[in-house]
Amino acid sequence: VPTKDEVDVIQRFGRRYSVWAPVTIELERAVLGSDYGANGYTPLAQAELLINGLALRAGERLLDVGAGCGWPGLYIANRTRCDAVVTDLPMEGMRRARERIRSDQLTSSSAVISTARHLPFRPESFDAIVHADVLC
Amino acid sequence: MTFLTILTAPGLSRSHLREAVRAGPPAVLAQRDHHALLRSAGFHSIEEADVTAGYLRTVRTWFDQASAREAQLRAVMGDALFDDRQNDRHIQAAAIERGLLRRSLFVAHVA
Repeated sequence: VPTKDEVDVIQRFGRRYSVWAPVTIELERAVLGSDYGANGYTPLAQAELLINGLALRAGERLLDVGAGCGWPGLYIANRTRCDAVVTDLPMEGMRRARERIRSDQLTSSSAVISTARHLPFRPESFDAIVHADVLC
Repeated sequence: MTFLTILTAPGLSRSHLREAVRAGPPAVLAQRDHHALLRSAGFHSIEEADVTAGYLRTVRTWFDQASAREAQLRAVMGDALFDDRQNDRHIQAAAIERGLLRRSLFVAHVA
């Protein structure tokens, strides 16, 4: 059962992710340098800092918690050839992430609707974890 | 593990802390020290880098770039969501400028 805060996240961010138009992608490109449907505070240069910190190799498994529409986890998968699992609560975001996985042919990556409180994975399933502005 | 997070600045008065919480994202209220949280979860070699300047630049750029596309954005997202987002960005930028909010990059490892 989602908590009150999680219901708020689903509603607030679901509303944002359901707005998808050329002008919103143009805006995202101008601000973050990305085109994933992101609306946060992680520009491309900081996604590169995350990549440096993670030091992932091809084929290693990355978990991105609270990934929205897949940024930055799917970008990291594309850059490093790691296998990413991106998770978040709003269905609209995870649907966008699945579309991106298909279009980028990230065949070993996936998008999972899940709360960060109860992630549906066995211990030691991942080599690294990333998240951007989830704890805040 | 590598992550970015928005925090309230340390040592704020109660009134400034309330302002920071109102201006920041919902969970910015979390008061636990991230270093202690990471250590208690078994992480070590914890490094923290301040990325607040970039945070302010990004919030300001969201505001300015959205303003430049105001008519088109209002048409696709509606007036209420557009105004809500711009108001959030305006308040957040002011709080960062006043030193109430900051953003950090953490890198931590498990044994």
